Amino acid sequence: MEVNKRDELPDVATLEIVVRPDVGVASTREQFLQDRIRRVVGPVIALELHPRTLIQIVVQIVQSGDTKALNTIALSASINATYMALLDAGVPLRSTVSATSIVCYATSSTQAALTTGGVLIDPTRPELEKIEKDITSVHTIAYELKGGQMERLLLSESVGSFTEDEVFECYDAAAKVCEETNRTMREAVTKSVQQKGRWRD
Amino acid sequence: MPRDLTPSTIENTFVLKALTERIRLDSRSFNQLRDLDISFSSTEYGVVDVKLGRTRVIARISAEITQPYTDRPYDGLFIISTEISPMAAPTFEAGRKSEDELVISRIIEKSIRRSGALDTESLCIISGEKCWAVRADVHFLDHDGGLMDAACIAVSAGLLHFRRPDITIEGVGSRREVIVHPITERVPVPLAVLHVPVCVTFSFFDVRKASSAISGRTRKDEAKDVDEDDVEEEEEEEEDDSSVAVLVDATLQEELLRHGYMSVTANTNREICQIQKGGDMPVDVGVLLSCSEAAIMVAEKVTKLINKRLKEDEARRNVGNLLVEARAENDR
Amino acid sequence: MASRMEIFSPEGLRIDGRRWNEVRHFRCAINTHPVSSDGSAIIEQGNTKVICNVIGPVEPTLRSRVVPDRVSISVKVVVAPFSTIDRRKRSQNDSRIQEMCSSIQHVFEDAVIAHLFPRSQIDVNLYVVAQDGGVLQACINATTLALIDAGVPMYDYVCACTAGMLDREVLLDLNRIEESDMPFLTMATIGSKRKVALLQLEMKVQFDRLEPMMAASMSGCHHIRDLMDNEVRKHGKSRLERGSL
Repeated sequence: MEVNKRDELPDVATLEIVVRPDVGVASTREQFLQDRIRRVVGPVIALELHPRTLIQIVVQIVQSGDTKALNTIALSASINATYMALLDAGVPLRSTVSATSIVCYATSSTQAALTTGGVLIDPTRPELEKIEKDITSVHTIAYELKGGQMERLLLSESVGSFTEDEVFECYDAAAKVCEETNRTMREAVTKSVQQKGRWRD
Repeated sequence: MPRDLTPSTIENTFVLKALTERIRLDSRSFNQLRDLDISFSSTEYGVVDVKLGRTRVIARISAEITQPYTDRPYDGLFIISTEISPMAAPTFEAGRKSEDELVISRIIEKSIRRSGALDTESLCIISGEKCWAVRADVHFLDHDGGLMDAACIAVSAGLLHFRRPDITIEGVGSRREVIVHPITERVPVPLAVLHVPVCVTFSFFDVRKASSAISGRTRKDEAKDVDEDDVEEEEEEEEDDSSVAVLVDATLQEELLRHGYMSVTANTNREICQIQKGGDMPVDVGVLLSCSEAAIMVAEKVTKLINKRLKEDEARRNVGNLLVEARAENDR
Repeated sequence: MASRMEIFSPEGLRIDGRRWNEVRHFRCAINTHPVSSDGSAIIEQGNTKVICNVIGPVEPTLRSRVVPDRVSISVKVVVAPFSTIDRRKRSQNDSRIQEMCSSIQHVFEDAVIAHLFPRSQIDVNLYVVAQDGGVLQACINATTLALIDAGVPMYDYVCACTAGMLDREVLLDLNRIEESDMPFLTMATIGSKRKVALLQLEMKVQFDRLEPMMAASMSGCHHIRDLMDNEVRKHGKSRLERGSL
């Protein structure tokens, strides 16, 4: 796409990311999401193949799964959606991306979460609302995958108090979920390609 | 940033030629709407997904309690936000209002807010202190023409579908307190919607211009004709109805090529809420009147569909526990 | 105070003593600012007063405004803060004013013979000095006169007029008090025929009432056209006599 003169880069494509909230007008929260998505997706896209052009990504949150204070699900879902959209648009990518969110919370018996607390992987809104008061830390983790296997960590966004062990635990759990998500996405893509490619037969 | 899409001359002549033969490219008749699909969110109230052909719009209604404006203590707030993101089409720039966007937002504003579709007085909780602020966020997801029509239908349907949590006021005088009951506790309350405005856009094409362009006459000759011959103008008057092609619910391509448009908002009470005919192409009064009448017909059809979908949605919700519980509460 | 006033008395008289089908006192003058602009006009419709300056056709200042096959018109409307009772500063970005600009622009882009001036631009500057209802119509009428004064070729006069509907009575050319009390439409016609260039209706009205309203405003438009035509001819004559053409 044609790029604004002001934003034109001589050797790579400009990446514009717009995040739009489901309710209200864009605020710092959307800025935050934009920034994080750029960090994750930016290095994956082969920007140098399209110098002096614009790649515009618009993320519209249709239904927010987060409770008011959080935006972890929005972030992981945005990253996954962005990745799928990039695939659909045929933008050259270096590798596959997948993200997930993990919420740690204190169970009623323990004071602080430590390692004894509960862990929710890929939570839904009703689940979150139930434990809202006991949440101790929230992690959003994105992996770069190669051949369906976790390769490198792209994003680790953690908020709250937690221990080192907890983080590593989360990383392991996230890797599994990301691989799973990646498989689902792959299936979806295969299916759509098959459908689109029908004219070949 | 990308400039406005400009269709090619070939496209232009092709579409116009087809129209002179009374053919639309998507094989619709002139006064036929595209397939309209309305669906409601199964989990939340007031989230509507409207698909008008390939145009897709989502409206989301939300409500919160705020303070009313000091000069209107008895009125609640009703805001419609229609910001078009580049998601609809790359020509829309994020954060900057284009002229199209301005027109769209004004028309929706006039159609729904100024026509009093939502009774704002019913949103008042304690006069001058607390009231509901209802907010309609319109998200344009795909743009294939008729954005305002789709948005208007979406907001209207959304308002009908939306339920706000029930409230009770406790205490007296200055120590009154408002208790909000979550929708899981008490049956949520629908909004006071007075009528259902439906916006219909008519596109005008000057077929005469098209046919003369095709027959090789330049526009200069044509202009001369209009200037010189009064006799011929008389003839034109008679031709008028045939020289204007009136299309309902134009696609993006037709929208870009049209010579003029008029959008009419009507409801089932045979009321016209708003008319906006931009100054583009001069059209005979009779055509405008018949368009307005057609708009009422469309409004009736669309309202019927909205009501049908609302009923279906309600039936679906009834299966769940929520309303069964609610009904028990009502009986008491 | 307002509640005691009768918008339309049983005797058939309106607040300012007009009958239903009478337009307000219409005064216009063209070539009022011969030095500062290529064409100019002042219009008074009742207590509404609008000044219009036209500059052009000139080379567009912005590259983006260049249209290869026709002239582009840019309209700016300035509403003076002292034009209403409540002194309020309206910014240029007020969405109502912007909408007005865009509709005036579209009206005249199709009313002037645009293909005669490709790649050029006409600037229309409107100053609303006093408003007492019917601002849009006054702006459109003033622009027509100023464009004629500037010598921009047009197909015909563009004339605008409002009409309202009170219960079952049609009222022509509303003033501010009447405007706030009833649904009304603004209509602009091209020439003395039934061609409608612009039509705006902002409030709810029964469909059956629409036709009489449109008929009334149409006749109002034609009446205003005659008045403007007289003024233009008078002005032309006086300039001919002075030999300043």
